[in-house]
Amino acid sequence: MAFVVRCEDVEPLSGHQATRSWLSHDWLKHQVLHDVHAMRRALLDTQHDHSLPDALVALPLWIEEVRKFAGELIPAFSPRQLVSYGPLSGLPNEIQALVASALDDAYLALNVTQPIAQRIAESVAALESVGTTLRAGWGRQTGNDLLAVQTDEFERVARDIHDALASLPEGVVVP
Amino acid sequence: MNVMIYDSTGDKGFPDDYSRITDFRTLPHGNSIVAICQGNVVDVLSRSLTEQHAPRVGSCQEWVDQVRSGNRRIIWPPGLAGLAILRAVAYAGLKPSTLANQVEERAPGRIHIVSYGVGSAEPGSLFERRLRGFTEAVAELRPGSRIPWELLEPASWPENLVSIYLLLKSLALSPPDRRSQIADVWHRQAWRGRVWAAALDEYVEAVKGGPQLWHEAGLPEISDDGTVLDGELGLVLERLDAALDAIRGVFPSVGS
Repeated sequence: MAFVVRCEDVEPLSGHQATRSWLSHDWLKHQVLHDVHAMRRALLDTQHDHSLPDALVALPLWIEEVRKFAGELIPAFSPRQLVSYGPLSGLPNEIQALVASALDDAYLALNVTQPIAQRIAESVAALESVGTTLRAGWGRQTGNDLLAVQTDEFERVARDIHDALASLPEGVVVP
Repeated sequence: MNVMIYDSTGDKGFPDDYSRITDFRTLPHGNSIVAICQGNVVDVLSRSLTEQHAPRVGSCQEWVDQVRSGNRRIIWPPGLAGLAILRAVAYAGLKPSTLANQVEERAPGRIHIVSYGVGSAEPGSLFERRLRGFTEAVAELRPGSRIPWELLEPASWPENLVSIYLLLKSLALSPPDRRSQIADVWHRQAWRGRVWAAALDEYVEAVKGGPQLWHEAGLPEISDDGTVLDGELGLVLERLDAALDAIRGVFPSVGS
């Protein structure tokens, strides 16, 4: 059994939480999930504008951001950071390191954040793949109905990343 | 009084039921409060608090220095009681945070720099819940009242209690030789009594009761002058699981 400490003033957790909100709100909700319906309509309209939609233009940069986020996710929720932040920071460095190491090992053994990091990494790979297909096929005269089907997958994977971000703990996980 | 929102980039998703403004000088007289979302902090300060034709400044430090030296006057629009500034980064990007403090000190109680990054203010988000509580509290205030900026801030967390838990947990997880090493060094720290005393206060606050559960769990007595018995961890270790359970019980659980 573990518990959560909502310590929003502690880095790296606070920066990570802000990035989570930003990815979820600015990127997924207001760009990807906002644009995907228009993308589908455009593909099924033979007269559609051939310019690449914003969600596809910016996709490689966002993919890079979310990959970085997922890569830093596990340590961001570790109790290790609380050792060097609170009163225990008054202990000698070598003792802090012993305490932090014991807590970090127990936190990793809980396996709370690893499945979420894994889920995000897999969904991002899927989003990148379907995004690449959409970018490559966008603006061609043929095959748009097949490409429109790909937008369903694009939306599904984006929603999965959104849900994975929402499932992260609201604070440091203490074993 | 009431809360009004100036959302300069429109990307924070403030709920529609919050009012919006575009120019602080058009605020109705009678003191409203304005929470400002995102945007260039210097622009926000210049637009809201500076003489209309004052030359632009390039940074908040420059703004602070000019106000401090008297080269720039703060002029509050008649309808503006206070100003909260936030961005997606902590202290609205005013690093180090002492710069944020300097800005706040230019108008004590009237400017507040939100200390954490706000990614979203959409319904259901953490910040939206805080903003709603803040708005409700402000609605009860009369002009001239103290603005409860603390309602926009995270609740303080019991860092002493958490630290004691972390210490005890690390002892529980460590092999005997390492456990002795950690405990020996801890017992040599003159400040440890203050941490125990503060942890007990935080525990009592969290359980909304007295210290009985603390003592029943084998956690140490703390004297009135904030000292603990020498070698107190030896006694706690005898009932370590009970001590850990008692502290763990005041926090929301996660996982299985």
